[in-house]
Amino acid sequence: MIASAIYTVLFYAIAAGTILLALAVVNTRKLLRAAVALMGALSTTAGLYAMLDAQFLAGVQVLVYVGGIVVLIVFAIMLTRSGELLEDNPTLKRKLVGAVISIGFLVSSVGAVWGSPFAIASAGKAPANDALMIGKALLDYGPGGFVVPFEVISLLLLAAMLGGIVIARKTPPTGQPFTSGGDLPGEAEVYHPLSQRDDETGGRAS
Amino acid sequence: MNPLIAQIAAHSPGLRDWLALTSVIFSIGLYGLLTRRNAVGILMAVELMLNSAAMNFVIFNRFCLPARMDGSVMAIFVIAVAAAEVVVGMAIFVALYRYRGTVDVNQMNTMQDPVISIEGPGDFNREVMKNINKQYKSRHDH
Repeated sequence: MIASAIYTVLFYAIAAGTILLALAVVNTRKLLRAAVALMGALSTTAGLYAMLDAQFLAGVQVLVYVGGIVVLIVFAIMLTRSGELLEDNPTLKRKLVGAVISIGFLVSSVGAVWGSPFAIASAGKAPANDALMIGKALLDYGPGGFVVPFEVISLLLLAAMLGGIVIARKTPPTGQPFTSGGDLPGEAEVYHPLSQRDDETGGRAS
Repeated sequence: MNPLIAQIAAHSPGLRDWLALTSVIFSIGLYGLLTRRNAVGILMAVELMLNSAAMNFVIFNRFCLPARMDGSVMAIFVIAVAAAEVVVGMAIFVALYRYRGTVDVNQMNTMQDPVISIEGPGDFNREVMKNINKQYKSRHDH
């Protein structure tokens, strides 16, 4: 009884914290603060995962989301200098449209959830060692196994890594298309490193 | 037993409470997606939405099929896809910032025909556009 009460109080406290942090993510005008709020929201989500008996997933959430993705987003904010400028407040029309659409989605989805019957299994107990179960499920090639999506996701991560390097690379080799320079008109002239270096040495010599 | 504790324990969250929570988080992400103008802000809103969607898998797993781990596996896949998405998105933003000097999504019309978009609607930076048009024409003339 007491454990159930504690569970309930924890659920509502963490849920309220998550919602407040999510609101901060979308409403703050400084993007760096929004990134910090996103870090908090993802951390509280890890707590919710732990409350759902998915301890391994809570660890993965902290490692990948909080440790990796938020850091990447902070890098993106700093590399594009978005943290220095205040974002414009959205216009009233924009806010109104966003609020109407999102509240409409919320009402419809919660209504659908409340109105539909679910096959809730009350007797089941979560497995004690969930990391072991997840590992077995990921590498199981029988029915109900996930080995093919597992391999595909590894290919996807490799492709994303290579794509990120190719897209964000600063100086493309001359004559090579499909980079951030070269195929866009005017950029190769502006950002060519050799021509800039020639200008610098020419200035010093004269 | 204290009646207050009994009353609190009677309101233990069920499947519908968890799903309502993820719906609220998803709606907040949707609001951010529609109102933000900075591309990185939009990416953060998308992360919120992905996060709540991944949590739905775990919730259904916990309440409807607690003996198996399929929902957790799907959530791990969603997290991996989100990581890949952020990597590519950040690379695109950095390249775009280097080229345009901004990541404001209202000014992203590079994929339009540059000759057309100078007369087109919108608050595009006309000086930059004229410069691009000049180089575009001079390159295609000879």
